[in-house]
Amino acid sequence: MIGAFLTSVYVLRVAKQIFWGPKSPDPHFQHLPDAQGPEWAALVILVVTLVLFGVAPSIALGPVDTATVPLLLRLGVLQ
Amino acid sequence: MFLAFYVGFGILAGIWPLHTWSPDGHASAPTAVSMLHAGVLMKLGAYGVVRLGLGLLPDGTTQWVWLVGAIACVNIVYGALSAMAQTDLKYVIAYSSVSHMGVVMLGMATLTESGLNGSVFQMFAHGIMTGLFFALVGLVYEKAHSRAIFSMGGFGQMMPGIATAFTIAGLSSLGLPATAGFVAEFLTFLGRLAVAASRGGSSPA
Repeated sequence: MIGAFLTSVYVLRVAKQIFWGPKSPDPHFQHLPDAQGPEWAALVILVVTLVLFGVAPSIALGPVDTATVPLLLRLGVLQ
Repeated sequence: MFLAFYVGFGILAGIWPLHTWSPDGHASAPTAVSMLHAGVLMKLGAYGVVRLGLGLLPDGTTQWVWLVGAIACVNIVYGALSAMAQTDLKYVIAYSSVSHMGVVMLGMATLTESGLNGSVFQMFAHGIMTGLFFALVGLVYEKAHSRAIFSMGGFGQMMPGIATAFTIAGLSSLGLPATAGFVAEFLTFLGRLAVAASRGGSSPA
């Protein structure tokens, strides 16, 4: 629980600073392109996977369960 | 024997006292190597502990599992605090890896069905999430030639796509519902609570 709270603090701090905060006065950072061409492919695939497994975790949890249950049975901690 | 397995694979997985190579390695490697490194290599360590540690040495596991759980808690909090203190973008992601591997180990140490499922799911979720993070850091570096967090600002206006993807990865990282990170962390905490309940009350985590 504490871990989840601390994670939200550092992730949101970084995201705010870099992407959403006031524009940096540094002249090098005035004209930067967005992701282009094949770069999009990597981002879209990974984002879609993250959300897909978040909305429907059972597609992964089914196979995971078939492996973990025998393991725990062998440990004798699961009836 | 179990401890030997744990230390050996723990180095690979970035377990707290043995994690020191991992942020430096992540930060100095090129983008694709960092992605593979976090997405595959660290999972290999955790897989080794689960498969060989739990599978081959059940007695050792039940004997030492309290230590694994305690170190996992240190891992989570230490990783998060270290990530907070960094000023280099890639180090933040690398230390968040250390923190997430702590969740994997904590789930494993509960020795419950939901805990172990959460642990394996967290390996998967962390692989995707950190891969995405390192890809984004690589893109930002390629365009801005900088990884110093506090010299940058307002990039969302210029690269809205990258900013959106980074925010989604971040929300998954902190376990917001409807992302893979939430499922993993929720199952892990469920397993941890089941252990606390079976002991009849309070617990350190």
